Amino acid sequence: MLSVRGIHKAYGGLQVLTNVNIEAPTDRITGLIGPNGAGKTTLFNVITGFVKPDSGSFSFNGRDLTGVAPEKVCVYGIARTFQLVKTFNNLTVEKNVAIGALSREKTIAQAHSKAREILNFLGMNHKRAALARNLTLSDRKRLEVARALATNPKMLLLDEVMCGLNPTEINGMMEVIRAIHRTGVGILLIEHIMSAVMSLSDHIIVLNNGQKLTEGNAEKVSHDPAVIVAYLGEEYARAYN
Amino acid sequence: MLEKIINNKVKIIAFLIFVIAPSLLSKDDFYAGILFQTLLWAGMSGTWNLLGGYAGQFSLGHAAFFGIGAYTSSLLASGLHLTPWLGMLAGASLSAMVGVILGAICFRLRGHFFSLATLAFGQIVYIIALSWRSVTNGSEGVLIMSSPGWSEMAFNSKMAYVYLALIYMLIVVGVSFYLDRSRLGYFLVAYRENDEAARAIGVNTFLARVIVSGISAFLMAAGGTLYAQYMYYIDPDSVLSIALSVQAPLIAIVGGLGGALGPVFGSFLILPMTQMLRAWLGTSFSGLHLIIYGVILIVVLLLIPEGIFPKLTEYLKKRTEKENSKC
Repeated sequence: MLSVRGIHKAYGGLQVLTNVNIEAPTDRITGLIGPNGAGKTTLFNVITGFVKPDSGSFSFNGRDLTGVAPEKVCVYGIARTFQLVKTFNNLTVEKNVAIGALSREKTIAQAHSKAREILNFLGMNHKRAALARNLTLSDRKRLEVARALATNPKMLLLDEVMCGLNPTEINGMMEVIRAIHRTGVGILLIEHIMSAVMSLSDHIIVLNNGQKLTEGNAEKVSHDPAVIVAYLGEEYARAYN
Repeated sequence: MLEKIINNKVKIIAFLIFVIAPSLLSKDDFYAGILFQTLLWAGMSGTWNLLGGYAGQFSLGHAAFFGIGAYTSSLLASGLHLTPWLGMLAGASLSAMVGVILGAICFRLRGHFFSLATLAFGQIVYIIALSWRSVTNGSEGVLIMSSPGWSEMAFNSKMAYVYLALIYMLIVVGVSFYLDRSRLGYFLVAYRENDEAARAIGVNTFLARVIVSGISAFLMAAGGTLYAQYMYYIDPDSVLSIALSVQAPLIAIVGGLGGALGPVFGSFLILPMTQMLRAWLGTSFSGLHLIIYGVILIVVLLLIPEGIFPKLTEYLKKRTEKENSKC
């Protein structure tokens, strides 16, 4: 269970997160949605230790991880991908994943064998000798997932892994996410592609202007007037109703 | 596939031996001198490459470590009559400590600011050596007076130094090959490629860089002692000048960054060239050798920005693949 309690974060005069409370159990796929600038990625950065919150705390499986460095957060079982892909572009696909596996494996050889296992699981085995920079965007996003998975996480944070993908690739990625979840890994995902979030998520949390707007299942959230106002503006919401 | 790569490496090493062999045969001091410089610089540049190439931390202050090594062993020898072998160890250890501390401070800086900080550090050490007269003798430098022999690390024949430099280079290459297949090496490369991504998958990029900074400083200082013993004389300009801090990365860039053999190639290309050019043109057209050297560097960097060694291995690989597809 990942639980975030009362997180505040401001950059100068700009309040990015205001009293955010969320819970993401490891037996669920939790969707995190909201318009641009809602603070979703900042929340991810807080959880993974890249950004220190001004106040509030977060814990994972009962262990307080507030202010813990990113490389330590990973050790406690939280892994993430990045909105703008950050693959190791001049390294091979296999080495990318092997570096992730080194967080658990002792030797280079073990790390590589674990990497091949994961690439196999994600259907990327035939590309393992390619350099990351020569992959398509879709494959690079998948590689980021593979690399995160290699750290053996209990909770996987996915930041817009489907953004920029074509419909076939989106379906492929959804299958990957479901397959990972079936192995017992909790998923928290930020996504703008509504059809994907709605069909994947067991539970959806909506952020707007740095505050939690509402949460619930897909049905509830998609019909919430406040959500429609946040996304489409008041005018449209009035017309919609 | 792996056999092919090893095969290529054998070819490359054979080529290197080809370059070395004639000089080994000729007992000419001029060529032995060039060979010493070439091997020493191959090692020094390889040492810089541990930090600059693998981790992408572009130090412009490595002359400081070289100077610390040269001065420590020389001062211990002249003042306390300590054998340069132990002096080398003392200098290298001191340098490693400085490297770790410098790293711990400067690795907080990003990108170019790290390079600028190391540049400043190099100048600080230079100025200390220049002004701390009571210890370093200032600009007069330190003269190393020792009777030839193994225990004094002083030899009549230049070839002895050549072999020492060869051993030095091989140690550096060995360390680089170790990095290629070790956790530390993987972590450094991950940092170079993307710090945030590396940290997100559990890599302590800061610690990895501090460790390699110590290793790099250690080996650079050892090179400094070798140089001091070869020259019998050091002063701030010969072992601490900014030119040394620039030459180390330059050789690595020309040869190829982030691999074990790139700097070796760079050194075998650049050092003999500069020394020969200076010998041929230095007296008749003073300064012309530097112009030619500069032009050659620009051309190489424009045509082969990734470095000569990676380009060459790629070419050899393609050719063997072509040959294989024929039969």
